[in-house]
Amino acid sequence: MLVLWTDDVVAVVLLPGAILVVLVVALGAARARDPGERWVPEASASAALGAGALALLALGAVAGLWAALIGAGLLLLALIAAVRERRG
Amino acid sequence: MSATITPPYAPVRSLVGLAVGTDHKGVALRLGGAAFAFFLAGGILALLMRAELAQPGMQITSRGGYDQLFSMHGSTMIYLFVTPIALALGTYFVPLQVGAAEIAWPRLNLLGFWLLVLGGMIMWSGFLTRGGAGSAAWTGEYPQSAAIHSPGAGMDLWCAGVALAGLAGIALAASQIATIAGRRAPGMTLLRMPVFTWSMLVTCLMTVASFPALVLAMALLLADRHGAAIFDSAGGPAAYQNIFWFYGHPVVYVMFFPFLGAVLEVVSTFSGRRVFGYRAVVISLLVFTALSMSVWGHHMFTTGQVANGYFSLTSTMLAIPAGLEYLAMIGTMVGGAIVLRTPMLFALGFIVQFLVGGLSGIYVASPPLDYHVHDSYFVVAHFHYTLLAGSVFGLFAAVYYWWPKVTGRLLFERLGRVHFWLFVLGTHLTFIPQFVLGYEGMPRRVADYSPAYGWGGWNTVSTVGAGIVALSVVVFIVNVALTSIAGRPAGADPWEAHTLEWATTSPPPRHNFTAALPAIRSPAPLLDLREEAIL
Repeated sequence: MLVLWTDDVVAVVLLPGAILVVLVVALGAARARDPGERWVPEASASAALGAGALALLALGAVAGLWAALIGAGLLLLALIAAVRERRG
Repeated sequence: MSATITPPYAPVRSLVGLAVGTDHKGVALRLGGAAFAFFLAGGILALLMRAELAQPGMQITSRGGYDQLFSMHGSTMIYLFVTPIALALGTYFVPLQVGAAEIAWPRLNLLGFWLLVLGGMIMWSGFLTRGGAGSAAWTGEYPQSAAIHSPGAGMDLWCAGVALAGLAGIALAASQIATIAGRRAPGMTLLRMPVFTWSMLVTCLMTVASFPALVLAMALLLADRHGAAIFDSAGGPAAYQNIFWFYGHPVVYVMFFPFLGAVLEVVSTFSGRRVFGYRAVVISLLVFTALSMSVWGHHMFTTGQVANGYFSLTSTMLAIPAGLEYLAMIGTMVGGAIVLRTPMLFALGFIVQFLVGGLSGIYVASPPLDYHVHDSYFVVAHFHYTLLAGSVFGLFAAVYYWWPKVTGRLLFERLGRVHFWLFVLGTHLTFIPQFVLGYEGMPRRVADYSPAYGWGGWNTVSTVGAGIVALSVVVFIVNVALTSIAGRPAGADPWEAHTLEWATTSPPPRHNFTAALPAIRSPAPLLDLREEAIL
């Protein structure tokens, strides 16, 4: 409805963009249905490693490219670790 | 209840376990603990600000230092305390309330915890840099946040920290949505979910819809500060504000709904009645959620860059679902056998004090009135009545209510009452003077004011009030410490509550439930059981 009131492109595209993000999460959530029996991860090093990697990537803007590159490398390691964890 | 296979190894309880354990209850406790630590840190900044403003003249800091104080106070409270602690409540109780053995996407949930902690540390590390921490308010207002006006690494660290905190919110919310979508126990239909779970569902929907805008705004701002000149144009500042406030207004409800849901649970339990108008509450939450994504422009009325008529209409319409929710809270109490234990006192405090914030919100939703009070202490008082005098009362209602479930011990009642009354006194003494000061024209975000304006008296009262709020928090911490030493064992259900989390032990076991769940035929299955036993 906002489009009737303003021609500001940024303002008009924000809501459809948000709906798109919600739809992506909803699709993922729909696939999270309980499969009956499943392994529950007791611990996940990949999650903590992934957070550290993302933090280094963000710090790259302050500390320089080296921090971002280390972060990218750690993120790759975290993804590999996550895949290994899922396989048990 | 979900069928699970217990892993062939013991639960992780070591220091490493604290870092990488995925049990949703452990993650929630760590997240809540981190958020509370940030609350204390942000509170100290608030006390320093109030000490500076108690009298005219510069007392304890410089003008630049004061800019950092109010920027980091607001940032800490919004990004690192209220939002994460609201999501921590959901992380702990949503799986329990829907009868799930575990949260969905536990790794994503753990990722969210660590992103929040690291984001907070990065944000606060700005104080260690030469130019100091971020100083462009919690909104990173452009062009104040541009490199030319806020040079130095502190502002960059602020942007990076906020972006990580935003990502944390998305991760935590997504795992709760997936839990509600896919892990509900048999019989737990959407319209049999407890109101707290409904409030978390809409909270998480708003989070995943709006927080990407925050991450985007911070990424663009960082790029702008490093030479990309993204917002450095005629329409740039308005574009930044549009993106930021698309996050910035829904987050107000992210910081409100979880506590509204908790208060409804408390009111229902301590009135001995089901939630009045359950379906109307659910509809009002959904309407509120949809509208909340359409009101961000009211933060920009005075820019002349938004459709004031549209945003004034949508903002004022929020009063309709809000009114329904108040009707539900009051209707639940009418005719009930009200028991005034500490959780109920805080719930009543939430109902009364949030009303002040809500009614003053109608005032600032009107452009002509907003033009008068824009950027004044009136606005500061308004949002502190919603956030501190409102949501934090709801938070303490939730803490006193669920503490026995989480720890197995009851918090001391007498200390709880002292905490409550000090908190009531402190919040009113702090923020009523700010309504007056704002109406008289005192601008926000200033370190000093002329004695000629005569604002010193009201500011002194406000500072005394802030001290009383701090004292009330100390009483709470003492209560927690004493309870951990000598608290009375709570048992599984000390309040005769209504929802499934009370059907298990206190604290709950690793996979939440060891016995079969009761039949779920309504949002209050334990109340159903008691009523059937009477019949």
